[in-house]
Amino acid sequence: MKDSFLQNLYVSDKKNIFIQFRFSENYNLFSILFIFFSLLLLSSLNLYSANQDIGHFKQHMIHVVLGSLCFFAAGWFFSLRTVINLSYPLFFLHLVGLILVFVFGYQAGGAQRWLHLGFFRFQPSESMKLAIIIFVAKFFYTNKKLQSYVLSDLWFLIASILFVFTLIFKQPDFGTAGLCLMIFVFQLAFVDIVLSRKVIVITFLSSVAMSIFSWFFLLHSYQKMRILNLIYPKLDPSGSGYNSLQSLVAIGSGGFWGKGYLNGTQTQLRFLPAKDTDFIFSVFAEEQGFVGSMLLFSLMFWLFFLGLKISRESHDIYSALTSIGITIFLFLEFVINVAMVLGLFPVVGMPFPFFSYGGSSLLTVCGALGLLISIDRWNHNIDNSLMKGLGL
Amino acid sequence: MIFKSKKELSVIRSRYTFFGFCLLLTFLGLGSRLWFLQIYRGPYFAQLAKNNHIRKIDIPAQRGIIYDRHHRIILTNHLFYDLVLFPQFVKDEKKTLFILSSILHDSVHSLKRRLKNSRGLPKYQAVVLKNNLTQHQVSLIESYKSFIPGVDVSRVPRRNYVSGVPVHLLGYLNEIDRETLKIKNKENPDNPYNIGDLIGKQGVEKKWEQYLRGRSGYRYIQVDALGRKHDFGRGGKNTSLLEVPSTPGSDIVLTIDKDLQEVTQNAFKGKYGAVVVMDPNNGEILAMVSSPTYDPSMYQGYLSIDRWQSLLKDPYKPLFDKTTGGTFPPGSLFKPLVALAALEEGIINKHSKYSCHGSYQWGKDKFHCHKRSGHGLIDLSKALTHSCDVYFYNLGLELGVSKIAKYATAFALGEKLGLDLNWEEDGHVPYSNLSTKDLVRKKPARDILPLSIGQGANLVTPVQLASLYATIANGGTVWKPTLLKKIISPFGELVEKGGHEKIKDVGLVSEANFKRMQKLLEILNEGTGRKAYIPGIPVAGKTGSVQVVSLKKNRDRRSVVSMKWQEHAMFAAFSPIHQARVVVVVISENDTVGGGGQSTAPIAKKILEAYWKSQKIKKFSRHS
Repeated sequence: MKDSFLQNLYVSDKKNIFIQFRFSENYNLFSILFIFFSLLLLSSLNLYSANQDIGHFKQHMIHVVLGSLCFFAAGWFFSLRTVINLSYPLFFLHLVGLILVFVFGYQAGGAQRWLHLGFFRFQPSESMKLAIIIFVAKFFYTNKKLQSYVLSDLWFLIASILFVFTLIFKQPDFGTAGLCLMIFVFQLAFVDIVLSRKVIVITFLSSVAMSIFSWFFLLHSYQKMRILNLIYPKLDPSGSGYNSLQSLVAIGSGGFWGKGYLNGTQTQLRFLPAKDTDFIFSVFAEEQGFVGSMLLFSLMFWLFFLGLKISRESHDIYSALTSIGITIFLFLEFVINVAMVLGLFPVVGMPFPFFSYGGSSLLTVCGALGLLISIDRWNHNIDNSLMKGLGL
Repeated sequence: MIFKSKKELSVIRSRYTFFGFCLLLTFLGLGSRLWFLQIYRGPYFAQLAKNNHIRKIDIPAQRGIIYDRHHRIILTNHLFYDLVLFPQFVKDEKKTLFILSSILHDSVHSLKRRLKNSRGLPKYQAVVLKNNLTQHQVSLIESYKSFIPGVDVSRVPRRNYVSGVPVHLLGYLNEIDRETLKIKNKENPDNPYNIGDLIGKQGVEKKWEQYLRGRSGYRYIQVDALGRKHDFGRGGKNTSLLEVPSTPGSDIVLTIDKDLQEVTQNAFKGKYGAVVVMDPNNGEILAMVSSPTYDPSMYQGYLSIDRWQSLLKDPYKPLFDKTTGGTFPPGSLFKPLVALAALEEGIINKHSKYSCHGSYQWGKDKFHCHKRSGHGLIDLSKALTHSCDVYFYNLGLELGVSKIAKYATAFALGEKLGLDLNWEEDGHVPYSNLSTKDLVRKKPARDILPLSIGQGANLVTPVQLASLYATIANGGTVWKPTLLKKIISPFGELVEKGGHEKIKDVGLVSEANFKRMQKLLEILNEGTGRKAYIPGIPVAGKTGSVQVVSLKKNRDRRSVVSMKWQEHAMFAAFSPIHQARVVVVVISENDTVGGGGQSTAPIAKKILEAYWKSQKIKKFSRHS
């Protein structure tokens, strides 16, 4: 009876957003909401344990509030139509931001990544990841073709992305630059592009040549040490291998059940380096153990599969490419960070989405999830954003 | 329619399946890596984490107390106050050091230097800035404490060396060196030493180190990556950190008589040499002094290199225990042994007389008596009382070197007596089977003259001399000298009981001759030993003066004679004459006062008087 009542409501007033309320249709939406708030809660608790510094924690809470605002704005306030229209301007804005960073950015820790925006510092390279995603989607959305794409159709796209890559690489931020490139490549993988055998061979050979070249000429010695440390963990345990080793000790000593919240000795006694940013997962794994970590993994992979599902359900190439881009973005950040922390990947500056301390990063992933919700709603033919309701 | 919609989408559907499959594989891969680290290798990493943050801190044990034979404390421990600084809590180092320097009247520079020595140590470890604070300094620091965070006064049990402790007998403590540490820990891995532990370096502290040291306890503390002490996880996991208290060392009861030891030290004050007081009936040592001494507490504080060098370079060797390690020619103290040999061999009897004209012509050489005018015709009794050299030259010539050596070895001279204290020496008896050292020129016939009066290559230690006179006094038994009465554990159990061990019986000499010799050595109010005469108390003894260098001006005791060329003054005594209960040997090196009779006999007299006073005996009846 209840069902029929709901159904009646749905049928009778399809346009009222407060009444169209069916779980099976809103599975994606509620799942993302659940995952979003779970991750925010876990990350806040975990970050408090990592630092136990009230000032730091307050700052993080401000980020959480701003991130939630971003999430809701992207999900409900702006219609996907607006986002589509703003894709190029947003990308252009970020490009300008990156150039500004390049010219007179704020320096910290030997890198020039931040822009001073009066009351807080912003890192354009973080949100650039999202801007690239919608930029690529918009490109294919506007340049629709009936046949497969060929490489010559994409020169503008490739040139723009390489320009962005160079700007970020120069900061220097190898991790973010590489991630931008990888997101782009993964997005292209979902588009029907015809590549001649020659292009594949040339790409393959040039990437091999590039990696050899960069080993000898581009990579700093500390970056080389990080790669060597991965292969030989006992190379320099107190120097360049220290971070990685202490991370393994923290995770391994967590055991099955973990040492308990606020009781991780490696974390609380400061043996673990960068424990609030890149190595935040070690904190979680030490205190929550195998059980907690696997739960967190499940939560993350649930999110990735949801992203995949939303992309599959999309009707147009913009929403399909954007949602797959967001999924790949979150997945790559997660996998690279966790693999690095678990000693499977060289140490690179890569945040754990939601968990690592940092406003720009958190705002970006919150916005990305909001966008995913927006796409899901769009997929269900609900183009009744609050903005539209307000007559905008 | 279908064609159009498909073309418009342009996203390859099959890639979703592929990517989903990749996601699943990644999940499994990361999950299994996590399983490998946390479950399979979990215990290994848990141990690594523990090594990271758990530190073992030692709790030093109190050393055992040393008692005298009447259970009076000779050496005990006392709580000393040390100024310590915990670098992890210090806020303003400059200000802290300034305040401390004004309290301690010490320069900021020297405090800084001590702080510098600790660089590289973990920050939780306290740095000792100054040892042995006075009560006044402690109260000053307590009142300033709020201004100097990280500064504390720690209480450490240490040896309390009051003035007048028998220094060489007890020995001193010093930090164990790495070499000894290695050897000791190999021998006894059960109770190992750590770097910085104190170890007995001399005397009783060294000999019974294993009993005295006790067993240090330990506790665990938690430190962070910067080495600072941390108490996080209160209530929960921290309480499981083990704490084992230390066990104090066993107490040692010595045969030493504290009062007699003090009297001996006071009587011998100002002289360089050794005194041994012994019970002739069992070999128990009642008092032992070696002089000059040093301050044993200097090792507990900061010992400067200059001070250490000056101790090492001192010509009178203050660090060296002369009672067991010092070897001297016995001089006239050897004469009773020669006389006993001559009596036993039938060369002389009580009434045999030799004539002394002040010297003895032997071939081209002339051997003097210490009295240049000569003693005239004298018998054995007179010869001993006046210590006539010529008389004993005659006896020596009759006996020969090998006979003298035979009797000397029979009295256990030339061998270690087994006191095993402070590098005991074995001395030297020339021409004996024992002597492996070729100290003598191989001219027995010429050597016999100095040997028969105890000069020449003869070498004995003060303990051996005491043993020799104890053997004469007890009628022919050589007792192993001993210091130990018993060792008592801190729980009151008897750990070890000191026994009396007979080294040998002197079978060569008859009891009658021992009795005769005891009587012959009696000190009356005449002769060289008259200054040791105690009215009412029979004392037997013999004086000795050993020439270091034969100089004419030596005989006149002129002050211009360099100190190291002065004679050694000696005196050996036992009391009463028969069934003696105490033996005293006094050896004063390079004595400026005079020979044995002048310088050392009064010292022996003081010691004997104190001994009999402590035994509450004022006078012996004639027959005893």
